Amino acid sequence: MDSETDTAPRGGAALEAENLHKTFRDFWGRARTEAVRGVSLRAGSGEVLGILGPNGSGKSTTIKMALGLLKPTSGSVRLFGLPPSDARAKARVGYLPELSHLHPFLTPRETLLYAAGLFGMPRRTAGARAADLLKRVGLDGAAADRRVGEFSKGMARRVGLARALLNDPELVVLDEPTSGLDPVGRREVKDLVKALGGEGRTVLLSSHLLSEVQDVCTRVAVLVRGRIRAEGALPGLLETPGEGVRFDVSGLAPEKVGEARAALFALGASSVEESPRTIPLEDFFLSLLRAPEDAAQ
Amino acid sequence: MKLRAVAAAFRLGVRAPLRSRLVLALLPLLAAAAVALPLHLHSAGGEGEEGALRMALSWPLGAAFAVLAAATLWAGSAAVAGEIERKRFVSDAVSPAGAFSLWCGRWLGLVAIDAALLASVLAAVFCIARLRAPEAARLPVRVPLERDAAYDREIAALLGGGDAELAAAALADMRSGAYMPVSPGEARAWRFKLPRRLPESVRLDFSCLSAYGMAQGVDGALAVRPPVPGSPDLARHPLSKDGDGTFRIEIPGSAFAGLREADVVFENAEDPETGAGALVSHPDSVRLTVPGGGLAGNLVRAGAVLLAALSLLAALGLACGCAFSPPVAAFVATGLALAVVASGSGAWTDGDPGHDHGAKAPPSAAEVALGRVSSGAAAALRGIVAPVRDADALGRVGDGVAVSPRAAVRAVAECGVLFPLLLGLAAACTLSRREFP
Repeated sequence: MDSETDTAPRGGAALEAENLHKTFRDFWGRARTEAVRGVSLRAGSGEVLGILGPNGSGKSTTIKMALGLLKPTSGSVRLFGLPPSDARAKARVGYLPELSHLHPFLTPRETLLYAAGLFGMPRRTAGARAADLLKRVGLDGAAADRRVGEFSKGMARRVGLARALLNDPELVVLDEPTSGLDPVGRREVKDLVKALGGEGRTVLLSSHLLSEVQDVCTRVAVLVRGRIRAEGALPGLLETPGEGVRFDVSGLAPEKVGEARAALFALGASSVEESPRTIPLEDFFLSLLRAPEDAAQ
Repeated sequence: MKLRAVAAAFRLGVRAPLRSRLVLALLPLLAAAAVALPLHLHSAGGEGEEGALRMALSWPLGAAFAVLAAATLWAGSAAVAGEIERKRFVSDAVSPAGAFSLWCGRWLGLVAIDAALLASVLAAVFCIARLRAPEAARLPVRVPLERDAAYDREIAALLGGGDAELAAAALADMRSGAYMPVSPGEARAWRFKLPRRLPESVRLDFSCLSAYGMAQGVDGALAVRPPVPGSPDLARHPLSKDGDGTFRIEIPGSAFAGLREADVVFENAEDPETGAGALVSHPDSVRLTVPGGGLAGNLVRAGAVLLAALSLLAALGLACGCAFSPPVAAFVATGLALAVVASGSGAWTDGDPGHDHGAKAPPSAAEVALGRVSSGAAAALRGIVAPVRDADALGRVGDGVAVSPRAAVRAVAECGVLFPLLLGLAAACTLSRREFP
């Protein structure tokens, strides 16, 4: 990407937040809400870090402090070793806000070209990149030249996602990325997030949809009332040691199931549960959408 | 400043008023000002074709400028403030484009829209002027000859009678345009610089008031003479109290051959015992003008000055929008603009409480301090808009007098570019310190 500000040193963590506090004050300076209380985070290259938490837990506030949209009451934040206000750091970040507030009188193409200008991209490069991204988010064709004000929430979200990826960022910050999207869109976003992580980019994903985070994140931080309650790699975080083990069996003939159950009891198992193998509801739904109409019946 | 970011913000700044239909809403108002208004005014400009031309130029331009000024100020206030309030600015704030680049682009976009609308108004006004006053509109505009400021100081010294304080007060009155008395038997002189290439004729316009402040003539004479004492008059004409106090003559250019300066002398020949004094304003009572340029060129120069004023208003609105929410930004910007207008009026005095007519007690220290702050603020505001005010675009176009190219360039450079950029720097500082929750 041709950027006017791409001169920052490489290497090191993409995001380092140390003991962040944020207290919102009223007009008279009186403390009103302590939204974030001592949050420390670190996200390295190739990580997909999920920030989970209920509404009002401080997820968006933490993200906004990381991006320099809010100033921490105390604590420090560095992006690629630089303050968030540094243009060199901003040039390497892509951000999808919680709500995609776009200029309603611009088309998706114009929205992306405007954003490209802010990142210092030459017009020709920007045009090609915008076309590619619009295709990737499913907004090519006639939709690319309709005004965003006419779009549904999901379509506007796709424009926001394309904008977040426009500058080929090393750190992608997605705040509730699947909000407003249908199941097809959700799957596409999840696949995209996995692909971004696979490309070595750092993804910071904030969501209150647990399944979404479980599917794509490599690490998770759980925020409750402004503090991190748990943090770590996902498989390890969800382990329940001492509560048994799950086998995923395939290729076993149905008449041998009883023998297998008996063998497990003989080995000391106190309970064995079996159920037919199922696919996730999302996969089932998507397969129906893709199947020809008469096959579904 | 990042030029690509400025260009992107400029394109957004042009698209926003166009696609939000602001421009569409303005067009009928501007059409009413530029086209419909002159059709309804019949006697507001004076008699004859000259009066019709003055009406066809002054009123539409003034009304259209007022509409554009208000729209620019409020659109500027709403632009950034509205985007911040609707959280559209969040993505821009996270981009590497600096606050100043974003502000500059939006400002240039507003100015571009203003330029297009103002050009349309000027074109319409020109066409209507040619229709309503075809002969007068084809006449060249008048270029006022420059007065010799050093000679003004000599006159002030004479009026002061050797007292430096009185001389300084007289000079201040002369510069401010205050009416000064010329008693029976006294004379008052003005010195003008002549152009290198003399035109066919030089027009002399004179006006005075009677001692009672009425537009009435006095018995006397008006003489034009070389600056060398004792030289014969180049032209001399009697004045009569039976007139309305105004007088115009055309002097052949050949009469000034070989001269670089010329004096105009007003002599009050009224009876010292029973006659009336006259009141003259040093900048306004005497004018020597020569033909120079056409109406179209004059409208272009006036347009440049008006665009400079609109540019400053756009910058003011955008700067307020960076600091406040939309309605507050519009309120603050409008208040500041009105304060600027008021700073040039006589109602806002120098703040010396001693001017308080009827005050019996001497002013307190607090009143004196407040007066100084007030006068300082008034002077600062006057200084900011002085280039536009001095160019007097609307007044000169209506009077058929050329807008000075130098004044127009100064207005564009200072009010159109320099002061807005300073406002932009202040706005960018404010914006970069704002939070976006």
